[in-house]
Formats: sequence, structure tokens, C-alpha cells
Amino acid sequence: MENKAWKLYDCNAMLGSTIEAQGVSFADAQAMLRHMDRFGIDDSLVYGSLAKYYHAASGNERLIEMIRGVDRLRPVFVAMPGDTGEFWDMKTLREKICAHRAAGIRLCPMLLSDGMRLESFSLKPWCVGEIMELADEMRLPVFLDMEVTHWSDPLPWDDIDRLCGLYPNAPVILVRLGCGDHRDLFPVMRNHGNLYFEISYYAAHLGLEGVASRFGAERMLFGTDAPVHAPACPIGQLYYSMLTEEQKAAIAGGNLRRLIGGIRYDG
Amino acid sequence: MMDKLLRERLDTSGLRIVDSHAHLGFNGPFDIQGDCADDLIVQMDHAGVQQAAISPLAGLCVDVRLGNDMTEKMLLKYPGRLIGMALANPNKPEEILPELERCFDRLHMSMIKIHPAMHSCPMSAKSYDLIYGFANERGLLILNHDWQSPRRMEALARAYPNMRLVQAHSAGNWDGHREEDYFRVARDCPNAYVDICASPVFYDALERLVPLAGEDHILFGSDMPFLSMGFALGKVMLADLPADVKQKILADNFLRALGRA
Repeated sequence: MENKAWKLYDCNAMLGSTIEAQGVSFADAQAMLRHMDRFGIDDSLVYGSLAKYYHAASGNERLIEMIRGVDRLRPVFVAMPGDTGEFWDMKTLREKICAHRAAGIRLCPMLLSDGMRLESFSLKPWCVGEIMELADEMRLPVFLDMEVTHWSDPLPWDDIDRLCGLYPNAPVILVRLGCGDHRDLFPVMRNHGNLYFEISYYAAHLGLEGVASRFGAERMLFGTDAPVHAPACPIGQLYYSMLTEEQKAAIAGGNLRRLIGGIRYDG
Repeated sequence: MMDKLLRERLDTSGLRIVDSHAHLGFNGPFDIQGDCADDLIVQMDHAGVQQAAISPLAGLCVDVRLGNDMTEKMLLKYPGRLIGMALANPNKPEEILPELERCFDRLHMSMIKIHPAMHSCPMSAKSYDLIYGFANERGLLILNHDWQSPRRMEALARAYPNMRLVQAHSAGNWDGHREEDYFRVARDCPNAYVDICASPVFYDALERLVPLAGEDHILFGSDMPFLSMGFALGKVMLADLPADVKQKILADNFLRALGRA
């Protein structure tokens, strides 16, 4: 294999203690950095465990404190519709995104409860429209986390297609996309240039190559879903793939850096 | 430089790597890219994998005899690169022994694959006894998608000491925490093994698995082309394990279980 430098930029990692029913957890930024050094990951976007599993607003605030001054970590805020008052209004969300240079928002419309995926909120425009309008205006990446536990878990492709179409300037990034979705994924990717996915669970045989041959390598992002899942697997899939070194470097970090560079902070 | 270190750790040159759990052909429920035949060899060459054991997906989901013929065709096309897994239909007991005899006496097969889920035949079926007897008589390895009970696996391992048994997937999708009795069976029975072929894969699970199942009873498998060879290979290559343990997992345990060590 050719020796060409990648700079791995993980778009999908979680920071904060958990009950560790699966995998491990990183209690602080230093633990995250040790993990990154262990796997040769240069930089990482991180969202808060507390934000996802407990309370989005306070969990995001905690994340901000945990990574203050740590250049290699950049926040992604867990976001949800604001109608209930349990989360920031859109004005506040925008201010915090800009103040802390958040690199995206993470929508978690499905959550696991007692082993079952339950809908937490709808992905219909009447529910998430305000958030998506903000993301569209700011060119802000939106990570869609449907709490996939297995490649056979169904995804809401109608909703994904609709959101991509209504908000074409918002990069929509599918989290934990599995190997069984090509028949839906490919037409939606064909129709919408703003649909991306991260590869932490995309263990598809010749999948990276198949997507690259159809859509280019620009819409795949390196992600690990650490510390629940093993970073070694997506690293191995990327390394042993038959993509060119340029394509590998794009997926490893170039694509994410390009997306982050396109975010419009401060109007 | 971190990047150089990572590439050194992923370098497979000089290693023996034999994939104990792969497949041949397409899959009805979802798309698999590539031709799922010749491109297996291309991927193996690219990643540094010398051999792969294959069972035919056509035989697992539709036609056992057709599937075995497809495997034989590939064995002849790529001598020395593929290890053939024979299939027998547990729903048709009268066909089991004739088909296994055909596979091992004429089609160059080396081991047996059982898949109770895809064959819709639970492990409680008596017809499997015919397969065990055949495997024990000939000293064969059986890779089972799921023995459906660690107790059953242990009982069979002890009742058929000349047969080797592999529990697929359980060691691969283990979450790193829950109690899993298959690991005890693998550790305690000399002819029982677990393979690490699976998705999803949890953080530090392989490192925690080794003392539970024993470093001599864990087999590398990729589930290619269901899953990516590289996805599975990375799991072992980047594991925080001694090099000799990785070598055992990557090939030596499986070759010994096959009787080729």
C-alpha cells in the first residue's frame, strides 16, 4: 500500500461518562485525547453523552466546559425542537453555535429504551423545520442519529429525502449507516447532493468503492462512534479499501474539513 | 509521526491470515457491491489475506446442491486460495449424507457450514445428528451461525470429540460486558471455538475477550462479502494484543482446528 499521509478527523465521537452497558466511556477530554492518540486520530468532533441521553441543553453546556481550551476537540450540539421549552430557542442556539464554533448539530429523533428504538420526535418539517432552516442558512452539518444498533434497523428514508430536498444547503450526515441500505441510499444520494454519511458502521463489502464510483468520495466522512464502538474497524475498512490515496485522504478528514470550512458563523 | 505508526500497525506483510468465515455469491435482502466471486480474491490479495473459507449464499437461502456446485467451481478456479464449506439441508434428512459424501469425496470441501436461521431449521431438529456423525467420523470442523445454546454446543463438543465446533458471531458482536457462556465453552472444550465475525463491534471487546475464551480458541472471520474484509481485519490488526496472540487469531487457531497446522 502507498505511504501517503492521512489526517484522520473523527466526525462522530461521544464525550462524557455513561453507564457503559456497551463499550467504554471517556469521562474527560484527556481520556478522549489518549484514545485519539492510540488510534492515530488527529482531531475529533464530539457531542456530549449527557446531552444525548439526559438533557440536551445542559448536556451541551457541560460539553463546552469539558473541551474548553482543547484545540483537537470541536463541539457538536445535540439539538431538538424548541416548542416544549426544554431546549434553547433558535436565537440562543445560533448564538451558542457561533460563540463556541460548533461544527454541527446532532438530531436524535430515536432513542433506545429497554432494547427498543422509540421515536423521541418527528423528522417531519412541521417539527424540525426551524432547526433545519437555521442549519440551511448557516450551512451547518446536521448529524442524523437514528440510534441504529444493527444494519437491519429501518431508516426513515422518506423523511431523509424530504429534509435533504427542503434544506439543500444543510449537509445532512447519516450516523451509523449500515451495510444493508444501498437500495434506498443510492437514489437519495443521487437526488440530493447534500446527503452524506459517516463510515463508523458502514461495513459494506466494496461499499466505499461503490459509493465513490457513483457519487465520488466527497460524501463519506470518517467516523468511529467511539467510545461505544471500535475505531479499529472503520480505520481498517478505509485503509484496506481499493480507493485511491486521494480518495482515502478525503474520507479520512478532507471532506469534513471542507464542510466545517463552509459554515457561516455570525450571519 | 502518528500516521506512520498507524500504517505500520496495519501492515499485514509477513503475517499468515486465513479468513475462517466468508461467503460466496449475492444476497437477496440487500445489495452487495461487486461480483461477490472473483472480487473476493482481489480483496484478499489487496489486504494480504492468503485464504478464505467460503459458504455459498445461494445454498444458504435457496438450493443447497447448487450452492455446493458454485463453491466447487471457485475452488477449482483459485486452487489453494479458498477453503470450501459444505452445506447439507437439515429439512431433508434423506439428502444429508449423500450430499456430504458428494462434497467431501468429489467436490474438495474441507469443512461444514450450518445456518439454522437461513435454513429455517432450529438446532433442536434431529436431522442435525446425521451431520454431527459424519463430521465426527471424518474429523471435520462445523461452523455454525448459531448453536442456539452454549449448553448444546458443550454437550455436542463432548459427545463428538473428533469434531470441531465453531460458534459464529457471538465473539464478534459481544458488547465487552455481558456474560456470554459460549466463551466458557470455547475455553474449556479443546474442540470448541468462537469466531469474531460480526457487526457491530464494541470498543476494547476483543482485548477483553481473549482471557475469557482463550487465545487459542478465537478465530478471525470477516463475513465477506456480507461485510467488508477490511472492517474485520482492522479489528485484529489494531487490537491492543501481543503479536503472537494476533497471529493465532488471524490464522493459526483456524488452521489447527482444520487439521492443517
